[in-house]
Amino acid sequence: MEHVVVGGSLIPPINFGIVEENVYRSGMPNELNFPFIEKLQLSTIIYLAPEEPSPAFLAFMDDQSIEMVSLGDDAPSAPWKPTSEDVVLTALEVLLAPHRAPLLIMCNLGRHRTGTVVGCLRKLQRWALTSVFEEYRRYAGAKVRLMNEQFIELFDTDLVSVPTTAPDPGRMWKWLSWIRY
Amino acid sequence: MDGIVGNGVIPPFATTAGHPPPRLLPLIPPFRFALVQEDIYRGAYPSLKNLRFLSRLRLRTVISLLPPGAPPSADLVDWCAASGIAHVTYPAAKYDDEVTVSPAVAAAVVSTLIAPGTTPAFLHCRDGGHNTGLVVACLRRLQGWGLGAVVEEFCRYAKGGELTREEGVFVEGFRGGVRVGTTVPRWLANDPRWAGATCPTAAPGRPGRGAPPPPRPAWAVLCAWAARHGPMALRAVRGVVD
Repeated sequence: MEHVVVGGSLIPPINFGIVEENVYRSGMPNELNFPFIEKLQLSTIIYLAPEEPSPAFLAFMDDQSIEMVSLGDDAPSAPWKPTSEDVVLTALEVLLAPHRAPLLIMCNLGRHRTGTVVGCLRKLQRWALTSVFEEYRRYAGAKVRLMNEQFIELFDTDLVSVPTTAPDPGRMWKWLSWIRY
Repeated sequence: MDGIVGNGVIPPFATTAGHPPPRLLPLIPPFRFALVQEDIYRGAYPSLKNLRFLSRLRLRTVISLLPPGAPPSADLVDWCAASGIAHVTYPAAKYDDEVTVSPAVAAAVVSTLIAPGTTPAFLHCRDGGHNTGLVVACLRRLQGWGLGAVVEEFCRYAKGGELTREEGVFVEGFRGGVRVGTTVPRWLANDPRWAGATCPTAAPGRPGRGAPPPPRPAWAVLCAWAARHGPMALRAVRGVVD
């Protein structure tokens, strides 16, 4: 059956992207984005923004029984200060825990903190640095922070505790398996 | 995380007696590589150095958008053949400030992408920007994304981060002709437009998949292919099966 495409009403949050199967990234959503996010059937949101989420968003997460892991408040953002190593390590630990998927990594604009965490994940996946930075810049646009790229470059992937139990084979085998050897 | 190649499965050409095993090589995705949806990937023209990365995606199909009359590279054709990957080519003019993909081609590629048996698939053009971007934009329209979000995504991959006026008209004016079968991917399921369609592995509530498919391609086939193509090819396939 052939289908005619007509105007859409699903609105992903700003800077939305798919990192890997069942791992998404974005900036802060508003009410217009809720129907879109609902379709992702999230279990977890890794929240990296320093501010409290809006009451509407909190209510939405509660309604969808999405667990929020808040890591932003102890890391004041400043242009000369990259995201702290602790925050990135904790975020990766949550991200790699099989029972957390599907999950969404987010900060205010989905550029810097989210980009740093995803960049470190890519490094853990053994991506070449050009590719890691290219992805970071794609989302950071004109606001690229060299500090974050340096953080990714110097990030020691040996510090990440990759789960030793086999992840849920139905979910994450494909890309998680790249990390493990 | 010990920095040893492949769980001790070290291809013979990767070691020299008396030397420690080599450090893990980095994986080199094609430029502008990204996931579009589960099992649909996009990127720029894959070169030899990208094949080791691409092998890990366990692709079933590679879709090339290439200028008419320009055959795909021998490396790509050979690698697809050796890996048991179906290679499909569609015409798309070289990017030159004009719309390079016709609506019919865009509809055909989108129809192929969502057909059962196509994925995992890698969609690419020359630079992974405009041509691939236009097709992905049409796919997003089919998914019901609002125009603003479609354009935002397009611009992230486009040269200069911009959508030309003609491309904007193309995306907004795209009216489909996309074939949606009775089996749709999970991310297209539950849509009133194809209400009767089923999706293969949908579990209620949370998404899931079956057991991972057996590793493809056969290591021996790839080694034989690489041996014919010299040291670059050997490096390209090293670690595919680990």
